Amino acid sequence: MKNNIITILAISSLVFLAACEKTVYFDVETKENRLVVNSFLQPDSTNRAVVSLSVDPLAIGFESERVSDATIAISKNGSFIGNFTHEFNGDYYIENDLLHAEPNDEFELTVSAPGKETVTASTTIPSLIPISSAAIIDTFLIPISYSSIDPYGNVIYIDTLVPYFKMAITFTDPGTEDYYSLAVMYKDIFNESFACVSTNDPIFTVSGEYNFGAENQAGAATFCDEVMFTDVTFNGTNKTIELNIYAINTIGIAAPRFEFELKHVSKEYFQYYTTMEKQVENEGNPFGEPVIIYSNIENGFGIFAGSTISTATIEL
Amino acid sequence: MNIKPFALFSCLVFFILLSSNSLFAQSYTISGYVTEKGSGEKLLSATVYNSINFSGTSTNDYGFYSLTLPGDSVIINYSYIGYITQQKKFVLKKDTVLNIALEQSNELKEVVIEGTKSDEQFQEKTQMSTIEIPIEQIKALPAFLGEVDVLKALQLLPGVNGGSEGSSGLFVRGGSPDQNLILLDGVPVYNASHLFGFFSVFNSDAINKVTLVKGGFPARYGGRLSSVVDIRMKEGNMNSYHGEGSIGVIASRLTIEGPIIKDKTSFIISGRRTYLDLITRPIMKSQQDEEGVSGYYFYDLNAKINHKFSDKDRLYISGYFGRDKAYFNYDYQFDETTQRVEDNGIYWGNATAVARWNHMFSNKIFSNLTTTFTDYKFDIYSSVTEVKTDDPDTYFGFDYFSGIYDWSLKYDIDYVPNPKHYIKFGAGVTYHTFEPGATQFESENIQEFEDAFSFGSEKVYASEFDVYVEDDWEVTNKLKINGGLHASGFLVNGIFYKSLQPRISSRYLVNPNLSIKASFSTMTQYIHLLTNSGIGLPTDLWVPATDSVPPQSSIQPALGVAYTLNNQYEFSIEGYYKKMNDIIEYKDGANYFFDGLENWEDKVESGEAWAYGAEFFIQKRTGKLSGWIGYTLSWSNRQFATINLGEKFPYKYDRRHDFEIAGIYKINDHIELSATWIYTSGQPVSLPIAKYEGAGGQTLYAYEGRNGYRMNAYHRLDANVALSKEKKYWTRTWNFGVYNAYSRLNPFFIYQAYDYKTNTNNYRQVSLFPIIPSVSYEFTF
Repeated sequence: MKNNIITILAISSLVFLAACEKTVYFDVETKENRLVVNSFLQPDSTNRAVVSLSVDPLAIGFESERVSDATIAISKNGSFIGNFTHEFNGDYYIENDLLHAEPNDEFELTVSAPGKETVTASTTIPSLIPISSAAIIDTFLIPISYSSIDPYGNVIYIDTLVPYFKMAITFTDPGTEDYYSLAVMYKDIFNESFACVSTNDPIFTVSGEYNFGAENQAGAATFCDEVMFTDVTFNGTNKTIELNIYAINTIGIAAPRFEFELKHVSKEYFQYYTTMEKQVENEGNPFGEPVIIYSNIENGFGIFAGSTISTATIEL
Repeated sequence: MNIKPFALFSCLVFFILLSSNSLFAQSYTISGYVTEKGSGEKLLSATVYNSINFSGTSTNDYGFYSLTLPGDSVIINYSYIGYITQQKKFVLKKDTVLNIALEQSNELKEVVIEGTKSDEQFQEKTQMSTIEIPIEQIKALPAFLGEVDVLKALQLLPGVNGGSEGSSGLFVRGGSPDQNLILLDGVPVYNASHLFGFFSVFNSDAINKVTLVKGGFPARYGGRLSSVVDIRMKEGNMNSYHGEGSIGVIASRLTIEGPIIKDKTSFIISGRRTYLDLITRPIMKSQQDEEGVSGYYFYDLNAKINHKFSDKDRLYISGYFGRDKAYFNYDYQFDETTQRVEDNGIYWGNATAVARWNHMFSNKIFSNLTTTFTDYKFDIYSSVTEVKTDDPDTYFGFDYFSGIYDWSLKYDIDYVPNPKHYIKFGAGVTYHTFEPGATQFESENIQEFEDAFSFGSEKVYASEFDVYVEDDWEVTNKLKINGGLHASGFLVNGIFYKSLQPRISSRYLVNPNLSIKASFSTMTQYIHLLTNSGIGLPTDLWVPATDSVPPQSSIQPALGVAYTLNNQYEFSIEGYYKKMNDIIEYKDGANYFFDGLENWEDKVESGEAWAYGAEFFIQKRTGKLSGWIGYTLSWSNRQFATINLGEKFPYKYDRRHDFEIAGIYKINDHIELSATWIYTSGQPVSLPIAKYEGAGGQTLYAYEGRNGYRMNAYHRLDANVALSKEKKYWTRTWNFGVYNAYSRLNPFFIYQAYDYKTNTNNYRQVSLFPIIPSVSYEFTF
């Protein structure tokens, strides 16, 4: 028996769970050199489109290959309106004076370029949803703790209170399937930047819905950029969103204000941005499945979507 | 609770009992146990058959049978595969107790009595989609690194997919691993994997019987959607002491059984441990600093005590305990005044316990009262202790743990009023404690962390109830039906879910060798598994259904044909369709490794799944050459509202073709050859088809949908030769095996990599195991 054990242990030492690696080439049907169109329509704006080409997913690095000789034709409600004008390096525009984009207008885009398959897309401009009110409804102090280094190099722990505004904006949802984005800007005569806000409003944490740009923590969402949401929980009602915003010290600052931008966006707009954001966030995560990005560009990639924007300002 | 389902259930039980009793008043009952001669081990599913009037039954999970026949001459045949059939001729004039001990046949050869039909063959059984593999066959098959693995043997059956290379996962008819009810002596085992899925937790030496149910579920089973793997442990030899064991490449095991009180009380105890850590320690030492020690091992311990109070009362107590542990310890001089000890590791494992009391109320009524406990625990820990010469010692420890613990109580009754009916009914309650992930910090003498603190998910408590009744009813000589009803409820956080699950299986004998079978079953599952991998990693977390994540449910109709040729070859063809509702999947971009478990319900999405296909199976269980051939043609798709833009996509374990052969050839009493070959279609994967500029200038990737491409097909040949010899005190067997005999580089996963030589990116396939020889030494005494 002893000899048997030794024999087996000797063989064991020769046998390891050898992992080997083999380079294989898959017959993946790539869709390189397809037209990529990114275009957003908004009433009262100069509407732009960027045209580029897709590349092999295995290409080293990525530098977008812009297409400067594309023809971009646009139709409104079935009637041809005109072509976009090339400005620079694949960046095209069409003045709204020509387009006259209005809510509920249907637009169709056809993009062609020499040697490339023509791509098409369509979208509808959503109705304008005005912000009916925007106001500071409360001010309060939030306790925070942080550590710092004193002049002698020692770590010190500081507990303090910081002031916050509770602000509220109200609008009326039309009762259809609607998609929105919201951004809060801080502005004064020298500065203009996104303000970071937090909220416990369930529209940003509803299960099964997208939560673009928001970071959930214990039911609260914090965002410092444009955030997307749907009307799934308030369809057809007046909706008030309460937001907590750090109370900036405005003493001596000229014309300080918060500006709210509420976009009523098309479904394509919402789907594209939310899936795009998730793919970018998820990149490099070995445990996550890749996120498929929405596109409404037939035969190509990208997005053609519409939105309307309403704003409200709170002077500080 | 809605009273109607339970009222309906009670009426059904009452009606069956009443009707079946009143129809057969002039009969007598033969009852008893069928055991193995010598050891006293119960023979489960042994056939008891009266060859005069062609009435029969089979032993239940405790070896008990009851056969009620008209008072007349009878010829009762007792048969079991691999054992010599016994025949009893007598005139039945009164209720009779006959305990039968069958003798094992030398060559696993069924002895067939000329001119009579001794066995209820598989085409005669009502149940379909059910496969029993003799444990001897499982042990004779080639084994990865010489470690016999029950679940890997099940992967060789049609309708069952093993997932990825080396894994012991089970994906049954498009289902996921959490949808398998894996029972060890009736106790659910929540994570049946060792070594990250490469081995299962079941020690084959301690196992008596393995049954896989893929569909047509009898009403007594509930709580999972896709399969039941019912594993019964041996009970221990009642008459003499015996043992068996094995010394293998990575593990050794030993089983001892015998009487505590002869013919009254027996025990079996079985243990297994790997020694990769011991073998590799010198190598690891040489590669690491002298002060560091790292390693991995797992072990199992099975034990069972069986006590016979009388012919009417028996008590069984059994348990299982198993652990996997990977560790890295480091002990070094940090600076002149500080010695630092680091202790890091991960461990996980199951513990189960069951106490079972069998009581025979009469020769027609057999009862079983069971109380069980099961515990699955997973823990990652890390600690640093600093022993200082100038200051007080400091300690800082981190612990992340999760688990699920169940207590349950069940009462089951088998009632055999006459040969036309075999009624089973019972009820049970399970108390679940979910601990789906908590983190704890502890420290001593560290200013920044003065107090111990913890965060993460809190424990969730839930109660699950079930009640069932089923009747295996021989309607006519040709038509037999197993109909039943399983009712269950689940109470969690003040929410009560309930469901009524009708089940029916039937067979129609076209001729004595050919039958058509059909079944329909509905299942409900109140627990979910949060998994990033789907291959049974210890980090997978069990969570209950909640108000926002409802229970899973399924329906599954199936239709098939069963045919037996020459009493030896069993052929079956089955077609099935399975629709699953409210299965869960992580939302796009979400996973708990990076996001934590806070608000896990917001990170998952409920959806639907469809699986359908056809399975072909040919099995030969006896004779010198035994084994099977299986083929499955199947589709498995899933759909969620937001994942993959709401479009259906192939399940990760969708395999269009799955073909397997398992053969065992016994040349003589000393030499046995075995081989298996498996071929499956490639695994679906998501690969980008283009790279392009996003609206904000980002680099984006386009995909042909989730799982739009397939990896290369998987195929593998394993072989084994077993050389046995009688020694003075024991029988020894040398097993020489080879895994992946032609060293096929099967795909494990694919990743994109940069090739410095060619300055290009390409896809690389990682293959885990080339050809791997193994040797083991087995002994029995």
